[in-house]
Amino acid sequence: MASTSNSTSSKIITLRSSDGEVFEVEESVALESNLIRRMMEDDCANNIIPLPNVTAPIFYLVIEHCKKHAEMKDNKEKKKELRSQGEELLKSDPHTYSNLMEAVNYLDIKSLMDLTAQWLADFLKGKSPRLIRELLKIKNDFTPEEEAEILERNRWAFD
Amino acid sequence: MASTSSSSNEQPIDRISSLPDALLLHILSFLDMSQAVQTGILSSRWMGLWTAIPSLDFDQYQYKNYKGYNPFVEHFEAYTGFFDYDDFTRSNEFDDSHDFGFGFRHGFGHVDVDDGDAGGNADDFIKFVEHSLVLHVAPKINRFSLTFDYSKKFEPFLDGWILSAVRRDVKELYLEFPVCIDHICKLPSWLFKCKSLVSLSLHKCPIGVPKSVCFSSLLSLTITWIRMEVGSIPALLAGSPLLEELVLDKCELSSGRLRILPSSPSSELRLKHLTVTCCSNQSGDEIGLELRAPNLEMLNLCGVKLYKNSLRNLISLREAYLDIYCTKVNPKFHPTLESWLKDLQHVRLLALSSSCLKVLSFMEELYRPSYDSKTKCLILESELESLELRGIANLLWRSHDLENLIIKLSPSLFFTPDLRPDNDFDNGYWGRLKFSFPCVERRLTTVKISGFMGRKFTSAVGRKTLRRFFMTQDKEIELVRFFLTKAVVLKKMTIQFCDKPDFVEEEEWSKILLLVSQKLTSIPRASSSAELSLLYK
Repeated sequence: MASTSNSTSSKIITLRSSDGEVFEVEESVALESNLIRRMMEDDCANNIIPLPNVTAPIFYLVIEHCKKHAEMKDNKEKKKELRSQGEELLKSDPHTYSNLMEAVNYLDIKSLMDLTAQWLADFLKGKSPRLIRELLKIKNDFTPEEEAEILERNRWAFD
Repeated sequence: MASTSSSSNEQPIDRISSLPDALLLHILSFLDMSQAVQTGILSSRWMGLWTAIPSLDFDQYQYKNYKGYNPFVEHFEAYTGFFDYDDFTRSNEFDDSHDFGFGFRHGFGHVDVDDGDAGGNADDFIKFVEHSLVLHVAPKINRFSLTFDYSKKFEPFLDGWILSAVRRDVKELYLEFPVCIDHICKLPSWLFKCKSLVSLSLHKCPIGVPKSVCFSSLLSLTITWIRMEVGSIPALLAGSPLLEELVLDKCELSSGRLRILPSSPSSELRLKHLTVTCCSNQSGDEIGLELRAPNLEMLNLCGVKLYKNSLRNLISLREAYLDIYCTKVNPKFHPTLESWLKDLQHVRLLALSSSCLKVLSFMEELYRPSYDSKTKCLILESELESLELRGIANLLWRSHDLENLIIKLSPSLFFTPDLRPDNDFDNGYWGRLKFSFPCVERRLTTVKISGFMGRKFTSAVGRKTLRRFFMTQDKEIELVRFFLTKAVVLKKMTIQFCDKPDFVEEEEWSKILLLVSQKLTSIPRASSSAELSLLYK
């Protein structure tokens, strides 16, 4: 079982990922998620909260980042550090990035939405379209003629 | 624990492009427009996506390789991070966006440039913004941001650009003209009737506030480097009934007196956060402040002249950041500062700059004002100069309820006449104090010292004497010793070392850090549960 609770006295929330793994999370961390907050308000508090759209490995990442984000609130260094971690993840594993982004969106965690979006935005900055396609495995589905036309029509932006 | 990458090793699948539109648009809204538009050629999925971005950021400095001349960039780079009071930002109690004033005065920010094209790409940039706005189709705009060096060329376009945002119910508007020739441009007066605006941020753009303003949704207003005519601020306050946050930084007020007062005696300002830093009157002197804001929670002042009763009746105030110009470091100013502190006795968080500490140093350590301070958290910015030590002691002595203390050590940036040279007075100062501080004995639970050992890098130090130099910087170690040996209920002491100075070799630096750390950890502690944590960068 993946326990992510600390030895503090705060309330523990139990959650179950789509693949059946059970997580014990401090209430303060769990409530970062507006989805969980709503579910708790709707009286699921005493039971295990199911998260049918999130797998265990991704949920684990989400919790890690929620905690890091809580820490970084008062620390500019950490903020920078956390912001710079996206580059690595996107280079090595864009697939996991997408799953994380979707999970964060599903769980409705505002702070992580902005962080993960910032990651990709930073990643796109200053890279040529060709390099972006290659790194993110984006298939260029334009024919050479189409691409030439798009470039021609968008000269105002690409010159 | 399963591996974090669950599939996709066999075949490259582009999952990012299959994220829903809303997510991709959220991502694109973090990009400058020139970057966002360029994602359009990645694939058919991305083509045209940018035309629905809800937040638009046009920035000439990000556009192509614009090399505009920004005379102030250096200054800001030099001073950012100097006053970041982010250490105790627990929950949302204190936001880290409060910048304390810089404590220096600046010339005004208008630079004469030829009407031509400072960076050489104004035409391209104009074309780019025009094209983007024509193609952009999102029905609503959340945030609209324009940054460019204003010249006559922009005159026919500016109104149209702002209008395109206002028509689409823009919530946040940010305008900055890093370089602007004064008097040639003025924002359209209809902007001041924009009902959708929640946040407005204006930097270095001459504004010309009309007599009647109607910002019926505005919560936050930031104005920097702008000349404000008489009547501008009252008009803005009267026209923004919901305003909660006002920031005025480095503005020039032609009246020389800033009145933050309700528009009629029967009404009351909602203002919660007020920052007035480094503003001046037309002759460059500090401005006066009249303030009546019973809902104010956070106040940040630098270089402001207060009138009698200025700070009275701030019944909701919880945090106050005070800085004064170094020209006020004078015994004559002490009664004034004391009266401010008296008015601020109820705030929970009090932050004082080095120059304030110097003024407090003119009194004895045991000087007791006629009130009881309720402050629980003190933030002090100090160079640990002779003139400041007694000020720190003085504050500790009067702050009976103090629980958290943050001392930010900073290298001396400005010339301040240090009446006593670095001498015996400093060395052993804390050890020589023969009385005990009530808060240190009973309340103080956390102490944080940042910028440790970074204090005097500006002074010329030869490489050879380096280690000796650091080892004899006992003032800082002695400060730590004082708290560790005296604070009985201390739970945590955090020491954050400064960055490695450029002129010190890596290897030498680690040796120095090791030696200093050993010294620190060997200090006996009065509190058995005191934890000492040393942070290196």
